[in-house]
Amino acid sequence: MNDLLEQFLVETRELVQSATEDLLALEGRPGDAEAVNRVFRAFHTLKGSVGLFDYPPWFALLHAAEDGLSAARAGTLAVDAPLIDLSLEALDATARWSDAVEATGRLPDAAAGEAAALAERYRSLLSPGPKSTTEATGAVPDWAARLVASMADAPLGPSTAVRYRPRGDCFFSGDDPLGFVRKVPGLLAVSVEPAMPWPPHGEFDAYACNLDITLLAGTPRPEVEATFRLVSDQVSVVDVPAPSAGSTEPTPSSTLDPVVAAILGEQLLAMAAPGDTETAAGRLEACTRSAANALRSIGHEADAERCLKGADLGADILGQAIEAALAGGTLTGPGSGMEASGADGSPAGVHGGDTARTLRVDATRVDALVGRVGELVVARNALGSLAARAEAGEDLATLARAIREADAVIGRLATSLHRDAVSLRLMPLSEVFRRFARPVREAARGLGKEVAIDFEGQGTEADKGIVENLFEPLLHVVRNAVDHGLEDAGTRLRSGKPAAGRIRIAAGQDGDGIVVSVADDGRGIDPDFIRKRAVERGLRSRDAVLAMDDAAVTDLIFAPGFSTAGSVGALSGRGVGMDAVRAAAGRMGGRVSVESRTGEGTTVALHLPRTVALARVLVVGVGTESYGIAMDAVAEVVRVPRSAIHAVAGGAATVLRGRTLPVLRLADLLDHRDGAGIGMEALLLVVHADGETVALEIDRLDDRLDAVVRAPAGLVGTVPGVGGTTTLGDGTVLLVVDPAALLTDPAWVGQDTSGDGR
Amino acid sequence: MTVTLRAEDGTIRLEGNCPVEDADTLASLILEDAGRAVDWTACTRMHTAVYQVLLRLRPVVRGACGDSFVGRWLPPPGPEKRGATQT
Repeated sequence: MNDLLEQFLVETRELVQSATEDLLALEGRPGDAEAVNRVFRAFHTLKGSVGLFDYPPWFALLHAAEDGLSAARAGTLAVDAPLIDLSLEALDATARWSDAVEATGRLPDAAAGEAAALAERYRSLLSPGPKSTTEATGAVPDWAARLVASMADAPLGPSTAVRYRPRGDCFFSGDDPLGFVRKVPGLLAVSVEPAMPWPPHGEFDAYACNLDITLLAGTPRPEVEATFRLVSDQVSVVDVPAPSAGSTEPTPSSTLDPVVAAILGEQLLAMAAPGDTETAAGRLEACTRSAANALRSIGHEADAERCLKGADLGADILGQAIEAALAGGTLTGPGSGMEASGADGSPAGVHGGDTARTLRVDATRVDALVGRVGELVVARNALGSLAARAEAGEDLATLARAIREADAVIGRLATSLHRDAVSLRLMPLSEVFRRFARPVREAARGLGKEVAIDFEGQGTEADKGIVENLFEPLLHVVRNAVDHGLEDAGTRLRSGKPAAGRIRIAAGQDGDGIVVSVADDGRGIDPDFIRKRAVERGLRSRDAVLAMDDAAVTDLIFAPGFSTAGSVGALSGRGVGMDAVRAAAGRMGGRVSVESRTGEGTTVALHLPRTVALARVLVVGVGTESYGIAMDAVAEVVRVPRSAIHAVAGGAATVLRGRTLPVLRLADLLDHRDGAGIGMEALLLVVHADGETVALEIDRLDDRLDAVVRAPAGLVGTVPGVGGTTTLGDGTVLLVVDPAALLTDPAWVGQDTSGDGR
Repeated sequence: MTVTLRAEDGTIRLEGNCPVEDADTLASLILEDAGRAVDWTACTRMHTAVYQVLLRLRPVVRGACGDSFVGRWLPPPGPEKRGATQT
């Protein structure tokens, strides 16, 4: 991806975000002129940046949006729900398309159609009155009627009326609007009027186009439309039936929605555009799909089929099929017997995958890092003088002490350098939080609930990787809270709560990590319901759930298979996709917990690491091999006489300070056959993993080190129980085992230390 | 240069092809002196921007437009109705 595009994507996301916030604010305060201004400027800038690249539908949409907002700014268009909703949709589309452009380098197939539809909605906001909707039923819009009336002799047959509103900056893009009109075949009448009242005399700009051109032509619509292909985003075309006789039988294409017609025109234009052969196939497919989808949207299944079949036979046949659909005719082309292929495949996972993103960093952090590197350079110089002293024959003891000092200095610097570098990746959680206002509003609106959302601790920082992966699991939780947690207004009022539900998303430090919680003041989770459901779903036996306390039962909402979407809705349960939340937290090296009080609300908390920190790793030996194990999983290291380890059913156990612990041999878990396991004493690591405490027997303790543990990748990634790798000073790679994963490895679950397999 | 100011009678003359760049020249000539008339008989092709200037500033326009499309389909902009006394 080139720099320009990268920069464009970063800016686009920021502009979408800020404009969304302003639009949401406008919803509450429609009179906020400054916010309208900001939204306008955001769209204006977006349009300008999109214009740098070749995405015509995107540009057309943003242009229409800019026109709409410009009218809102001028006070000629009300800032109301339709405008705000439409603008939010336009921003949504823009966000999706930036993702698509980032992933695939091009707009999704449906973008052209979507852009045309959205742009048309802006235009109908701007010129209310009989528009597209009535056009489909055969009525003629006012402007076309005026045009017909202006003629001395009314046209004899059916005619085509065009309203062309050139973009304000069309002169800059080389358009000569009247130039298109000159080429209209069978022209009957033309009218050119100012589109808006002229601005006051002082502000004369000869290069700002402000014209509303309407014309009438006695030729069929496709021919007229063809003339305006290059500016199809700026024209609306309608069929005008013949004055009296023709009105009984509408022209075929009058049944075609103008938006659909515009989409089809766009496809013809796209196919006609010059391009290399490499992209031709993709473009053909894109055009086919857009055309077919557009036709399907208005129920023209047969035409859609024909387009799909035509596509197999090449661009020319597809072009004919589209033109036939435009003309409302039927084309029984040579492709009628062919199978449509692959046209209903869903677009490739545009949102998935590892998308590279630019990282914006506070300049002071970079300065600190640069300063630290400078110190490191100075510290290194000390090594040179030490070498000189060694050559001069200085005595070893003094030399050793000096080397140790230098080592300590460099070690300190390396540690702080790492800390500084990690801090470059720290992002405030506000980046995630600010994205919630919108989905909450949508979810609440969809359910007819009133929800107030507030945030706390947005300034809390965490690693970019954490912050960026936080949105989805958090969104799951928030949607659940709105959907299942909060009651409807009536129920709330009856239980003495305010009608509007409250959701609070809070973040804070939690030791080394962070905790992000979503709290609602809804009905809470009813443990009895969860018990019932868990039994129904076969997750636990009836006896088991009765024996569990309420907290443990509530925790079951995170169990895989606890609930599926739609089955919980009306009842007090939550749990839709909550296992996905637990999985996501786990992937980030965190965990999730829930706390609930019936009738008072639920709080779901995600406990996450703050950074990818230097981990303290214990290097342990098993047979001839060495493995790392994260020190924070190890509670203590003990030596017990072998006689204190007793064989019990399915394994071994020992009693440590009055507590019975299962004893597992690391050699067995890792499938090593050469572990010693002999000698008078056994060396045990007491390990906490996933709520269990077990003793892991090892052969020896090798070392203790600070290391950056990288997630396992490649071959290593498939080895069960391996949590990551780190590189040792001598360049060898140390496998760092993850006790929790080791213990869940099904290979030994039969040994029954964590009865439920987790 | 296809927009010229004729010294003898102070008329603005449009000649030949009048591209988009002429719009600004034409506008400043009219804005300098709103009484100047525009002679468009020799104009063979008028860009939309040029026509827009006439539509907006409505100077007195002399003769039939040499651009047959404009002459045939577009009304001569001319001064607004109350300005009839000027002619």
